[in-house]
Amino acid sequence: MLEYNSDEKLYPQRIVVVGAGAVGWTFAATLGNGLNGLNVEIVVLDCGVNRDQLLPCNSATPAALTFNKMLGVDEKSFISQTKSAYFLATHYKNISGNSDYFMPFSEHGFMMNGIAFSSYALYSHAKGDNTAYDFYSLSALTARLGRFRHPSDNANSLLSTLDYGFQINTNNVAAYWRAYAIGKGVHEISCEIKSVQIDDISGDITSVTIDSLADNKQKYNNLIAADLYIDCTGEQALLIGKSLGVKYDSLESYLPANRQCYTTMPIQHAGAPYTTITPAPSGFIKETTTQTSKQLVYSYHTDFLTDNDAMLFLQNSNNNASAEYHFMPFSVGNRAEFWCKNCIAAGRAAGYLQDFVIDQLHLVQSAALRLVTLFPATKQYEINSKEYNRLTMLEYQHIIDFHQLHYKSIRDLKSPYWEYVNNTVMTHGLAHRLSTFSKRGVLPFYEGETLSPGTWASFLLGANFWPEAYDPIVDAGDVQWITEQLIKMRKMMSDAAQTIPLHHDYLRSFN
Amino acid sequence: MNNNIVNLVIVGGGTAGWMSAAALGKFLGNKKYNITLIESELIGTVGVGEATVPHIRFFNETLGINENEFMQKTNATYKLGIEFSNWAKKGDAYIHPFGIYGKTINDVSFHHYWLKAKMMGNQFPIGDYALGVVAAAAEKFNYPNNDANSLSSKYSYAFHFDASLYAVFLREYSEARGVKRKEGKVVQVQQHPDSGFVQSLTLESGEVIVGDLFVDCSGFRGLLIEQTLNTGYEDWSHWLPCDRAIAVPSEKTSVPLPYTKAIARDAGWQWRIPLQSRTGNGQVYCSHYTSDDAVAENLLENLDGKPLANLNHIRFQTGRRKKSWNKNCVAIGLSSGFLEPLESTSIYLIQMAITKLIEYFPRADFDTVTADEFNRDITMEYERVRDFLILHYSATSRDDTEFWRYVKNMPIPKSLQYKIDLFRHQGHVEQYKRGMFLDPSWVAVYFGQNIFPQHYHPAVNKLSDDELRHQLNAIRQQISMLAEKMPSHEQAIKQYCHQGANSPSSWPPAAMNLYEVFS
Repeated sequence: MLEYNSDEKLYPQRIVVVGAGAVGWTFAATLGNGLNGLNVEIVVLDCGVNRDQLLPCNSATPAALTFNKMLGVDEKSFISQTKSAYFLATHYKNISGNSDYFMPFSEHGFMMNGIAFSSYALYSHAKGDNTAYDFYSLSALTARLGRFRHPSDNANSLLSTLDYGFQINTNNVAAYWRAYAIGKGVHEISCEIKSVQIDDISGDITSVTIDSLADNKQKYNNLIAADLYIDCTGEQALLIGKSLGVKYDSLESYLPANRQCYTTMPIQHAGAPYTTITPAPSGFIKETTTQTSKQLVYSYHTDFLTDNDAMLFLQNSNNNASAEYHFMPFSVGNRAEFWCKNCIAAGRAAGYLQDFVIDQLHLVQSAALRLVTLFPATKQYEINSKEYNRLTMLEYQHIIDFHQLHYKSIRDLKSPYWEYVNNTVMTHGLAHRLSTFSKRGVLPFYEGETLSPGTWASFLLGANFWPEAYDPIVDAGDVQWITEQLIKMRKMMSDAAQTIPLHHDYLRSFN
Repeated sequence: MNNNIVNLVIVGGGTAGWMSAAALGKFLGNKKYNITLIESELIGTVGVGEATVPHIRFFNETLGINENEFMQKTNATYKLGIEFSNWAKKGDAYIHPFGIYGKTINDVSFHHYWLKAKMMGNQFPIGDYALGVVAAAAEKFNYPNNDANSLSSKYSYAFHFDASLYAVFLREYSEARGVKRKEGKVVQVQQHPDSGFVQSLTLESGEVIVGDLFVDCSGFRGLLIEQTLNTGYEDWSHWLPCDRAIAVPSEKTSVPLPYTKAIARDAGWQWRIPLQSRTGNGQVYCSHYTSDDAVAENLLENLDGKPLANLNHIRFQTGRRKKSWNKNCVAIGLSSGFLEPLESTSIYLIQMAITKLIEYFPRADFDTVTADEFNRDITMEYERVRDFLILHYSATSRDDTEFWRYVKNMPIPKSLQYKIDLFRHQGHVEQYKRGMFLDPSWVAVYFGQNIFPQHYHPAVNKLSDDELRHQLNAIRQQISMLAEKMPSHEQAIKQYCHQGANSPSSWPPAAMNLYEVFS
């Protein structure tokens, strides 16, 4: 063991986050908090266009609550300053014959007699009951009614089962975390990136040459050296890709899309406490609403749809004549290594898995917290980076599976695009899950999974993937009793949902 | 849909057999299923697994068992952890508690703070910061407290009990729920000529027992899973070389301790399990490095009371059945694998298999997808326990016998090497959710067996050296005070379980967690 030396300095004395925006500032805020008081200098290079380009609105899973808590952020201030709205469920329209389904983040129903609720729901369905699975979720019912409240602290209350994330305005969130990070002593330099220098022997990045734009010149010269670099430059991946040459593995064969057409409109009242995902002739449309904006995004593949047709389609589904439409190309995939040498990639520099339920900011938060947990104490951090990469890859794989499931659930749309999608190869993980689920509703357990098996079941049942058989142990129970319990449960939930305030009224009380 | 199975046959009536019968009886009832358990009084049960882990309380709770009645009927004592002596080197000892060390500060686990304090010269072992350890060492016991902010909520407990009495207790429970018991030896197994599925068993009496699902609780030999279905066995004896055990109960000589002892010996180790009225003892050893006679002699020499029975010799091979679920046969207990009872995992593994069998309960079509998933889960459990057990042997500086020289230098599984490398570097414990042993257990054994990281987590330095000393002192003093206030283990047993079934249900809820019950 090393001798303790109270003068010993922490190894990374300077960390440079290259690229600002919501990705760079979220990362910097996490480091600023996690390393606060440790004399680590954190510098964000705001290099304008060399930043991760996110859509104007995004959604954040309930993991954002833990994230905010860890950073010591009061939710009320977060909501009112960022004009975020709540996010109780994902609303799926027209997925495999189900015109209207809400997938919550919390579990459906209650375990009875030690048997999972989903077993009873499958049983009841097999007996001819057509109740949709989301009628057994208070979060889903509440979302459907456009209502919201915080979960109750009382674990015995039905209201404690509510679980939520946020729908956010990306620029506001970037500004929020920027102010937070600066408050924690993080420095900011507005500049252009001129070049990146690599050490011939170690292969590490030694410095980034910048052309400073603002008045930081007295403190920093144009050569920014650091121990660790965080690459938040988006798809350009100026550091991890262009400088270190870590390759980007395409996932387009699983997630066949490469372009987005989007529009954002101001709104007067906070919108729905849910996002909406709808299949379109050549991809998916997602709607997100914050307190101040509504955003529509059509994600499609250019082999099957022209930009103009994409725009026309969005225009038709949106009756706002003055809306402006923008286009953003993207490439789904992941970096072969997320942490290579002394550089960690975040945001699109690390990968892009599309934004169905888990979006970019979720992955950035998760990456930043992971780095703090595995933060190196010395220059010998091979094992830290190895573990970081292992965990990140695990996280990505499961999300890829879940997002691919969206594509594979569309079985009733006829178009060249969907015909193509039907013939794409499934990931091993998705194929395995579908095989166990289709038999009798079993969902395998995997380590490092972001979404619970309950969320998987919710999506699958919402998309009408009813298994061939139900759990036979339910048959041991009393039919009459089970039926009564299910009716009681539904009534209890729908009654409770009625007592919850409207989402925009609830939000108004914050402002 | 009428393709449900109807007849369940459990072969073997030891702990595994009766635990299976009780749980299946509870979940399936006797209206639509017939459950038969076949056991022979002529075949002994192994029942060395008299020490448990806290998960057993969850099993009992699910069955609706009165904890105090259970304790009274099984001669049980409370268990707060296991003391390992002579493992890292002769003369060493540490307790692996069912509990958490200290508390997380600034999102960094306590052991990183302890590590820095140690580098600064702090002499107190990490056990002094865990109530489970301090209470065990002081021979105290009380239920954990339902106050998440209090250190007195940061531990859990299990039992030492007489496994054969537990089997009797569960037999009554099962029979009350319609499980039929058949006395007799299975002499023949009939299989379907094409599918190879087990169809029926013939008993010595000539009686034929027909079944749809067979649960093989026949012990090491695996009457159905191996002798009939030839499923195959994955041998782990190159990592866990012990292959024999000798067990013997002895007279009680003092008040029972609230912890199990695992004392390393020249070619294996010795257990000591305190029950209310007697002590269970035994040695697990490797026959390649010692003889049965030498172990028997050493065992008898080291008993602290008079032996109460003849020596019971047991042979085994560490490893795992390649498939616990094969065709229409599910192996539960020793028939599905053997891991020495160093961390009292046998009954836990039985419980996991039963839980999974109920979760994945088959239909008559016995779809292989579901069985494969069962096998995947069971494999994960066994492999994680295996790695944890191997650590006890490989993390040693003992080289005083050939056995210890072997285990010290043997190649270990890659999965374990990776965990150790991670910890050695910077005190990081590999994170996973499944499996019974999580961070506190790994920390207990790493530190207990002198695997110290080169660095602690850098965020520890957010506390000044003085703040660090102050916080550690406060935790240690508080724990010592909390332990001081607890009743003695003996008093606790008297207070809680001597009234048996008539006592109020004062015990805390159970959890599928080794470290806490309230969470």
